[in-house]
Amino acid sequence: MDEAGTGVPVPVLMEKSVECIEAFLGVAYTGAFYVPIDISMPWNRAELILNTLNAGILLVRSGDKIPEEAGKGRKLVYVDALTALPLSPGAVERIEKRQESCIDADPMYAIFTSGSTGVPKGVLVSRRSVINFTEWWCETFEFSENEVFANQTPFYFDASVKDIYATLRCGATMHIVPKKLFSLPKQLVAFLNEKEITVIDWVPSALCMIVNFKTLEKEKPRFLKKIMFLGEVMPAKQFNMWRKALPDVKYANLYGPTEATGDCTYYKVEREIKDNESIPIGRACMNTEVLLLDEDDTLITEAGRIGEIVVRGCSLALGYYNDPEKTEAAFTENPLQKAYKERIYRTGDLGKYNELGELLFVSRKDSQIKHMGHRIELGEIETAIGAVEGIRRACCLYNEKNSRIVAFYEGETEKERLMEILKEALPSYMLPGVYHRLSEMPVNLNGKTDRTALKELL
Amino acid sequence: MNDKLREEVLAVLTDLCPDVDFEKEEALIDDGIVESFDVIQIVTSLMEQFDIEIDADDIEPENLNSLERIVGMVERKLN
Repeated sequence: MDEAGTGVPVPVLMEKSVECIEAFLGVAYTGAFYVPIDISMPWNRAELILNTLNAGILLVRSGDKIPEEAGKGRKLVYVDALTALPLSPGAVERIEKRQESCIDADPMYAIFTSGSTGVPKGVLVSRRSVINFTEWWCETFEFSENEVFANQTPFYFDASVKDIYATLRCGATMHIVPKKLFSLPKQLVAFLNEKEITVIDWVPSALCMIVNFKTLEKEKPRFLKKIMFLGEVMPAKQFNMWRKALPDVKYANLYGPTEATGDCTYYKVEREIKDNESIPIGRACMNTEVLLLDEDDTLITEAGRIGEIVVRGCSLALGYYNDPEKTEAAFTENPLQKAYKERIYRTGDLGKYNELGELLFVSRKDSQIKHMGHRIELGEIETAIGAVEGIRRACCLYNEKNSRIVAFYEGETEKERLMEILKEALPSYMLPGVYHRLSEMPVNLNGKTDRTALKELL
Repeated sequence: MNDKLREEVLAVLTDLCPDVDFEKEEALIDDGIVESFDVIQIVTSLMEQFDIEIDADDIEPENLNSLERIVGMVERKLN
C-alpha cells in the first residue's frame, strides 16, 4: 500500500464481503480514498473508471473471478493475502507520517454514478461528510449495539455506506443478504427471521416484492423494529400494506443523491398516509439544509409550487473526480447568499411542499431516471447504443408503467447483435428491456429526436 | 404439456428478458440468470396475462428454474 496517500484513489474490485469492508477501512486509514467497483460490472465500464482514476494498484480478493485485463498496467493487491504478511520495515511510520497530512475535508471514497456523456462520474465524498452523516443517522434512529442490519444495496451504491458505518459506529451486526433472495420473497423473510434482523434500509422494489406476493400473510419478520426506504419512490399503497402487517415498526422515507452523502432528508412516517398520496421526503439531516428554488433562483416556501431541490451544508460532496467542468455545473454558488461564496448542489430533482409544509419529491428535471434503485442517465445508454457500428441514432425512454427502459434506434444492426454488445458495455441494471428498431427516428423542427412522438410508441 | 400454453408463456418471458435463452436454461434462479427484478416482473406478467394468483409460496426456484417448470406452475394455477 505504499502507493497510497492522501487524496490518492485506490480502487477496490471485489464481491461484497468482509474483506471488502477491510479494504475500505485500510485505504481510509492510509489517508487515501477508496473506489468500490462492482465485480459483476462489464469490464469495459470498470476499465473506464480505472482509466479515469489512473490508479497504480487495484485491491482484489482471492476467490473472486477477476478479469485478466485487470492486472494490465496496474498492480493487483490481494487483501486476504496481505493480512497474513508481516509489515514491511518502516511501514507504520510511513502511514503515520501520511496521516499527519490527512484532514477531515479529504476524500473518504468516490462512488461512480451514471454520467450523461457516457462516462461515469466519480462523486468524491469527504471524511467529514461521512462522519457527520453516520453520527446523525445513528442518533436519529437510535441505533444500538443490539441492532442487526440486513444489507441489500451494493457497495458501489452509496446507500451501503449507511449500513457499513452505522454497524461499525454502534458495534452492531450486519448481514449481507444474498442477492438471489431478492427474487424469492418467502426465503427473504425467512432469512430476516433466521438472522434476527432488526433494521432494513432497502430500495422500495425489494419491500414491494414482499407485500405484493402476500408474503407477510404467511410469515412476518419477527425481529424488525425499523424499516427505511430510499433510492426511489415508495408507493403509498405498498407502504400501507407493510404498516398494516407490522404496525409497531418505525418507518422512515429517506432521500438524497450520492452528491449529498447517504441521505440529505428524512421523514419519519408517523401520520396516516393515503394510498394515493406521495410519502413526503421530509426535512434535512444534521448540518444540512434543503431549499426549493424556482427557475429564477427564488426561494419557494408556499405549498404546491414546484422547484428544484437544492442542498447546502456538510453533506455536500467535494465534487466529481478529475472533472472540474461537471463539478462547476452541479455545485454552484448559493444565489441566496450574496455576502460570501457558498457552495450548493443542484440535485436536478423537482420537489414541492404539501399543505402540511412537508417536502415532496415530484420527478427528475432531466432525462435521469430511477430504475431498480439506481440513478441512470438515459443519455449514457443512448451513447452506448450510438457507439455501436451501423447505428445512426438512438433514443431511450423509460416506461413508468412496467418499469422498463425502452431503446429506440435507427440503423442496420440487428436487435440481438445490439443486445450482445450492450451487455459488454453497460451494467445489467442499465440494459434496456425493450428494443424498437425504426426505419427512421422521428425528429422535431430543430432536428432533434422527437421524444414525444416516441412516447406514443411505448 | 400444452404446446399453446408453452408458446404463450415463452412469449411473456422473452418479451421481458430478450437476452435469456429460456428454451435452454435449467437453473434460471439458482444460477442467477434472471435478475431478481426480472423474476418479479415475470411473475407479475404471468399473473396479468393468465389471470392467475401467484403468491410467495409459489415464488420458489422449483417453480421458476426453467421454462418447463414455469409452464407447469401456470398450468396448475389454471386448473
